[in-house]
Amino acid sequence: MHQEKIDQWVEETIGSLDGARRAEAKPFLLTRVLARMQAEQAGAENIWTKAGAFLSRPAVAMAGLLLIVLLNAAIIISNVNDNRNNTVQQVSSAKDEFAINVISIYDTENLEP
Amino acid sequence: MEHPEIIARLKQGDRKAFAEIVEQCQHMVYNTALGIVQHEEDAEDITQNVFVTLYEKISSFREESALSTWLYRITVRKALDHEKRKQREKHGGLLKRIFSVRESDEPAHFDHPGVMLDKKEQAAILLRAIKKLPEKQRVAFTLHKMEGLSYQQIADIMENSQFATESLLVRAKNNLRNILKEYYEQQFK
Repeated sequence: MHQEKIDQWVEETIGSLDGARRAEAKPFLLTRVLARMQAEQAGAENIWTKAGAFLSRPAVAMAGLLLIVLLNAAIIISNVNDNRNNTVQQVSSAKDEFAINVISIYDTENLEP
Repeated sequence: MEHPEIIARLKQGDRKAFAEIVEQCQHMVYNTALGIVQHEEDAEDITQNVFVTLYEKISSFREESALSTWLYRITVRKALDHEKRKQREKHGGLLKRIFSVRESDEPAHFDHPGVMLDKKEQAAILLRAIKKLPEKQRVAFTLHKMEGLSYQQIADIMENSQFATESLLVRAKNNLRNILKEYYEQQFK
């Protein structure tokens, strides 16, 4: 009994779209389509829109990010090396400037005429 | 609508010819898009998009088929693309998946504006079931039921043989019967 009822509902449901009217688009569609075309044309002419679209591509964005990370790493590594050389240079120039080579007061006295 | 003279004018960029075609085909395009996406704002957006594409790509229309067939093809493709994009947005993004409440995969309730009042409830159940069909079956069934197209017209739009289209529609109906049977059996329990 239940099965017969269900079969009947199924067939009625499958036929429920028979005789349905066509849904209609809202009025003034042409105006909206023309406005959209103008907006798209204006957008296509704008170089910044094109640049933005290009940069926002996942592949381009990831490549840019990777490049920034690599540049940062290279700068940090070269700075560390420079700092090591600078420290040695600074120590030797300070030695020259303040005559730290002179190690005793007797040597200084001997230098005088 | 199938006047070669209007198509020739449109190919030359005549805006009046374009306006005539929009006027004549707008409801056909809108109703087809609505049948597939089952969402009024999305169907409106797709309709606008179809006419923009028509204007831009008319030069590539070789007139081997009727203009209406070509328009149906563009509409179906855009509606299916729109659905896939929406589906990706719905499921996509790790952060979105972590922080958002999981939406149900069950299709939303939709009332087709052209359905008679006494059949509204059953039609809504049928439309939900149609959403669960495989893509080709869904398109063929929607074009047949919503637009009232013949097997041959559907075959032309889907670039199938008439036999393949008939078999697609038979499979669509059988699948719908199974989905609806399951639905009513659950309601009965």
